[in-house]
Amino acid sequence: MNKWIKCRLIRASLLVLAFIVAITAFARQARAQDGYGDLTGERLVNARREPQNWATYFGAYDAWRYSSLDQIRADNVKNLVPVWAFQTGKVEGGLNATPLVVDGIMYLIASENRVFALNAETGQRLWTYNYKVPRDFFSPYGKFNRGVAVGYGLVFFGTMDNHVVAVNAQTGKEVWNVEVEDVKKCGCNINGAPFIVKDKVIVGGTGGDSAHRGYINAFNAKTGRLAWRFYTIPGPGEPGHETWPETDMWKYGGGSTWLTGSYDPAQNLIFWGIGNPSSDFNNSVRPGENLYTNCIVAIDADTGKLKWYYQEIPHDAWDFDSAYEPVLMDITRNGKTEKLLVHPNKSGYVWVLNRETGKFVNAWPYVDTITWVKSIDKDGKLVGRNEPEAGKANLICPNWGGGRSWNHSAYSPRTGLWYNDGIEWCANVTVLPQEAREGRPFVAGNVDVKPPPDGKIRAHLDAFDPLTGQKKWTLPFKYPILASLLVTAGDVLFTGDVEGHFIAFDAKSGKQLWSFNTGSGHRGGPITYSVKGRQYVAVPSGLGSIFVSGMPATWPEAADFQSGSTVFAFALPEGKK
Amino acid sequence: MITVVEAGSQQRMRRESSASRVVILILFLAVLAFFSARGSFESATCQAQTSPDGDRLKDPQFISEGAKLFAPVCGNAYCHGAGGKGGGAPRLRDRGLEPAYLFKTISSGISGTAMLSFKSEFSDEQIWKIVAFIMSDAATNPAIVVEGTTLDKTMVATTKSGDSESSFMTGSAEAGKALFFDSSQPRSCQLCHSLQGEGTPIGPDLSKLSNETPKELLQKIVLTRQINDPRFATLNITLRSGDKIVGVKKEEDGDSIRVYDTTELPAVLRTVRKSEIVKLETSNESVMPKEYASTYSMKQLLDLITFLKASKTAVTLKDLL
Repeated sequence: MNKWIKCRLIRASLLVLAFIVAITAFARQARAQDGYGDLTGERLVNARREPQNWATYFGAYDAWRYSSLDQIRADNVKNLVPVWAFQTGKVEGGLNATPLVVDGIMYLIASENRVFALNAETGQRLWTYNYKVPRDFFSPYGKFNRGVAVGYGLVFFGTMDNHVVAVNAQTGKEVWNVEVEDVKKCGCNINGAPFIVKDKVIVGGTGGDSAHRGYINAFNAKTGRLAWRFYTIPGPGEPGHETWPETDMWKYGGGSTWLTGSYDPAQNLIFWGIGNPSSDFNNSVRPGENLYTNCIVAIDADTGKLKWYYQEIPHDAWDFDSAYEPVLMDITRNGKTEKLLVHPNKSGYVWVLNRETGKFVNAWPYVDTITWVKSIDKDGKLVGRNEPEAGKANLICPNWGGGRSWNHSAYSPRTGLWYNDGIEWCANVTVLPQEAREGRPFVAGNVDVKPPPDGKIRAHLDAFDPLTGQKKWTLPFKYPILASLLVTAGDVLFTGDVEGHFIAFDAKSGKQLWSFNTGSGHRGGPITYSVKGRQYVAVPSGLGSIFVSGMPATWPEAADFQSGSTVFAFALPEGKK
Repeated sequence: MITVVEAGSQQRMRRESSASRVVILILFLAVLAFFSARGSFESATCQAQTSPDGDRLKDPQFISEGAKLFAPVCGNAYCHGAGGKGGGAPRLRDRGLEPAYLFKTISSGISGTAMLSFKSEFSDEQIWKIVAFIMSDAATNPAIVVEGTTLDKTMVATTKSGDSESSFMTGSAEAGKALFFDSSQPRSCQLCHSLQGEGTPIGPDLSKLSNETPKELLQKIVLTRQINDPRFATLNITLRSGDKIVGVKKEEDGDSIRVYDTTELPAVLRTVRKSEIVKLETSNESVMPKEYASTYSMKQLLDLITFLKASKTAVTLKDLL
């Protein structure tokens, strides 16, 4: 080939190459701006590269509830102003959701499974989806919902009557709808947020306080076809079945999956916290360790097969679910880096596990008032179990409401601190045996809330070293914090209280920096996102939930804490950064 | 509006309307008397049972029995709380709630909420005891009856594999019902069939199968089937995306069809825009799973058929063969 042709060939190839690159870049850009809910499994793995989004329930697969956006910082958060509000229109049950923001669109679910898409910059409503329920329906764990999942052009959510629905992210029209199981038969439904892993949408369910066998379901995101189901109680012949008695109790033993898990892409493992066994307080009907209740399970995302499990509380007698968020972090100490899973349990303890081996690393208390166990030894064994009994009332601390409710913690890789709230309280617990009848309540106990031995019922917001549990700072609160926490790279910690204040704290010191009275208490998840270079903080406000309904029995004045259902968005004033 | 009426007919009309008014008045008084004699109006119209009289509802023994029934079932913290003072569900005590309302709510539940119907769990007498407890003064009536509550070993669920009682030759309708609705079975009948208002009606409702013989029913379950009813025809849809759906149509509107995709179970109700459909074929080959002969034993099939037949005479293995 002569030189002249070679030169032309090279130039032509370079042109073609440049053209291809330009087209691809343009296409990606176009997709990002024009596509609705266009998240894929791969984009979700790299969610932290798109801090303008809040792409999953916990923000990203690590479950940190952290954002790297830092336009809003500890030194300027006092200038935050409200920029819009969106009222969902029905306040019964409050607003328990964490909104998602993907490419400038906010996706929100409110009570009675009403789903909205909003312009995240202006709050303008783009579409509404109203879920239709049959005339005679039963909603065992309430009509509220913690959030949707978004991906593949679809918005996914679970329903009051145990369906999973996918609607078109652009139009809000239903695309697929699957009934997981007859709600009347199982006494279970879905009120936790699904999450997407690869090509599947993973959904948990309630039912841990009914006579029901729990499961995690994975559906093909585009078609809704069931891909796999992981039963949390092994059936006859399966390993772990021997930890249940040789009766039918394994069919009714609980182990619900009512919150949302996390995901480690490096191992392709989904981590999920499994709830309590039923009957909650009478464990004599289920002698044995009762696997996999009160466990963290690590499940292969493709097959649904169990890779490892760690049981925090064998043979539970206290309703101490292990359902809360499994937070994934790599911690380096003394030159050694360990891949950890930090997990708050309802019992007032945080468990720290190695997420590659499932081995116990540490357990430390996040509240002071603990009497259900004397201690947890260096191998994770429970020492001095103090179980409720039939025929008498025993003082058990913390109580059924937990050392903390389900509202989620936050972790900042900048401060290295894990932020959480705690409640100091107890209850007289009495076992009242019940017979197992499928789908019916199966709690078998009453609780009578009592103050801790050392004083009044009180709550607090804390910052801990996640590995050792050493407390770095603490702030007292009169009422439990029932909203999730959010922490940012601006070193600001956000949360809301039950009286309606949305508050910003200095993440390093705990100093309160700013607050805004939203007019109704907080029971959802604040998030942060950006649109066209401007950072927003959005918070759902509106008090309601099972815990909230139970508050007046302990705090009579809470009967007057009014409900609501509004999202508020805040930002720094234009031109003042 | 002015109506011109003849004078005579006007008088006649007036007389007729007075008469009918008297009849109505008499009827009304009769009804009033009837219901007053029967007790409260509400309870008479809502219940088949007579409510106990007021003294019974105030009897301490009656109330204390009610407390004992209330505590394990209603008094947990997710529901009405210890003593009915409030939990995840509303406070019931010291609210002046009417007995008839309480009875009806406990018996029938409240649709759209977590309040179940409890008539399957409690007799009417037991429900009245619970009503009496709820109406009693919270200060003088304890929340939880702790004395004398012991753990009863009979509370433990027993194995129900159907081996002890029934013979292997006669079908058990109870076992058949459990199989029909067994949610742990990946291909249980209720996933595609409704019966007595339960289940998903993808295929035909099976509530009335009196015409088929047991043998015919067996054949319908285990043999490959042809569909005769066009309502349940199998659709084979190919979409523009390349995805293929096999299933049964539920409904159709202007621009889309909703079809139960039975490729996997539980079936997915998919809304498919007609513009997305490249090919749509109808076939009369059923989507019903073909392997029931290997997933169910003969005894299980016998039990299922016995349940489906719901006849007074027993169904035996001989009837299937």
